[in-house]
Amino acid sequence: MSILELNDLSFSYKTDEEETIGVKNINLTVEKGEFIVLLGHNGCGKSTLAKLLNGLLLPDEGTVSVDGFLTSDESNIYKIRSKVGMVFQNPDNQMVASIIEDDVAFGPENLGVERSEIVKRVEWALEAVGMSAYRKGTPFKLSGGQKQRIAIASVLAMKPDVLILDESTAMLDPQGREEVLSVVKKLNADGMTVILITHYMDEATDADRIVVMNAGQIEATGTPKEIFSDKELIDRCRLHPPVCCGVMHKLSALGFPVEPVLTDEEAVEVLCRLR
Amino acid sequence: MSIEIKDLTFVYGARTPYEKKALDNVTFSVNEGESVGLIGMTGSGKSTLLQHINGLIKLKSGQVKVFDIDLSKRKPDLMRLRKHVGMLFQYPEYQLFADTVKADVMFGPINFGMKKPEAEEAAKKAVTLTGLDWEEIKDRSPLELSGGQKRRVAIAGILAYSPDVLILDEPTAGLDPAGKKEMLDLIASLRKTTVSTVITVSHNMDEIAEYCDRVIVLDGGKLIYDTTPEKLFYKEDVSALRLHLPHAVRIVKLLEQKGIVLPHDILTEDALVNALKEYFLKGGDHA
Repeated sequence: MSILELNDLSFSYKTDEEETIGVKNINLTVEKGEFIVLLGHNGCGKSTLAKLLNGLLLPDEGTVSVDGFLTSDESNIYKIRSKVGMVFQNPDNQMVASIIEDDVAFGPENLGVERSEIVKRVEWALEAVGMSAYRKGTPFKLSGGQKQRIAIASVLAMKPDVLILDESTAMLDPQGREEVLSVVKKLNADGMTVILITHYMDEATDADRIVVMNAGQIEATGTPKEIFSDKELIDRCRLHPPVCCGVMHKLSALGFPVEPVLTDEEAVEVLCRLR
Repeated sequence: MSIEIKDLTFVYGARTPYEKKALDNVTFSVNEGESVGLIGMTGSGKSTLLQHINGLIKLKSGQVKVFDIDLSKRKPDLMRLRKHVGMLFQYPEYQLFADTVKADVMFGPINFGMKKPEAEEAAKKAVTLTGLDWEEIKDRSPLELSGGQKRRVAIAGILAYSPDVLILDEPTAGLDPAGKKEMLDLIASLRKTTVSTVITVSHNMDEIAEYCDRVIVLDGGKLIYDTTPEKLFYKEDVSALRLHLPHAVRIVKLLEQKGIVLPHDILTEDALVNALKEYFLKGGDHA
């Protein structure tokens, strides 16, 4: 069943003098439980698209429907925001309270959830991101990865159907990235629909589907293997595939009979067969 | 010798419950013309170390000497120190502040005592070095530039006062792949033309392997390795440090377990491709 439906979606940023295209003619359907990675260079419209998905921006043309509710209908907006949760890039900009459990409770409080239910949700959300031990602590002393996990918990407390991460791992060190990604993958395994926006290609290799954007439009969608083996697409959209893919591309250009791979281990297997 | 550090120890919040030793007896020196990668987990003391080199933290114990400026002496000439050492902080695009690119880049040289026309000339030169078009960009607000352009302007703001050493704290963090590549190529070309000595902090081992000729590893405030990337990634056991190996090195090591032995100086994708080509053209196992 589809959870997100985007039909002929277009949006541009307007000032008095000029109009800049954000996204153009986007058609995309996201199924419940899918893990989608959105790739594309800076300024290609990824974040604009993300903001259109939960009504932070409204379409100029076309529609966005979340579980059957149109974002363009103002009376739906709270429902949509509780269905589509978003985690942003900078962990420090997303903390609203000085105690972690208050921070996580902020979302459901604003949705008017019963107190007893809020308590349950906060407990569950912190458990889900592995931060229960910190519930009475302050977010300001946490590492970047821990802060992003709290930001995810704060979104989870609203019981969303879709979790969007807009470069949420960009400011983290490798350990922080791993923490956040393993939480996200676990949530996805439990049924959460995930849309991950990232510049780290190795985060994309586990996706069900990769959506590549360029100049506001969807340039390609496909499995990681399909996307990363398309040399021409990679060059055109200025992506930088993982090293193992790059090695395969170059060997293939040199005439070696290799096949596309996604991990170092797969690359080694393919190379062993060349002997 | 550009930078000499000896027995440097620094404790945050000494004699409080939050006491934390950030640097523990660190000793090393950096020669002119070197490109040094500084690596270690978050909290290993990298930033504390960098801040010492630029005189942003007052030296408590040990010695730091940058060119002829000895920070262990009373009242070292910090102004001159900072002119020698240009420091690019993390996410420098957030530190642009002036109304125009021109004013922003001229801020440094003017503060170091240059006259306005001179400073403008220096700014023009610096902006051009970073690959931006001076005439096109000088009167624009830094805030309306793209992320990659902003970072270039921030670097120009440092180059404008011609430092002798560049310190870059995660210069590629947050950039898209094309932006990362441009930034690294820019730094490599600056090393040839403008500032030969560069110290780079990075969490990306692929970048360290490709762009640095020497690596220094900090762990819990201690300097545990000071070596070349080849030796660090092939000879030392870095798994305990939770350091990721550069992908090319990882593939070489995995291949070795399967009996395909390649030279232990491969650090980059291109080097790996070349080595594989040679290996297979020579007939694989019979090589």
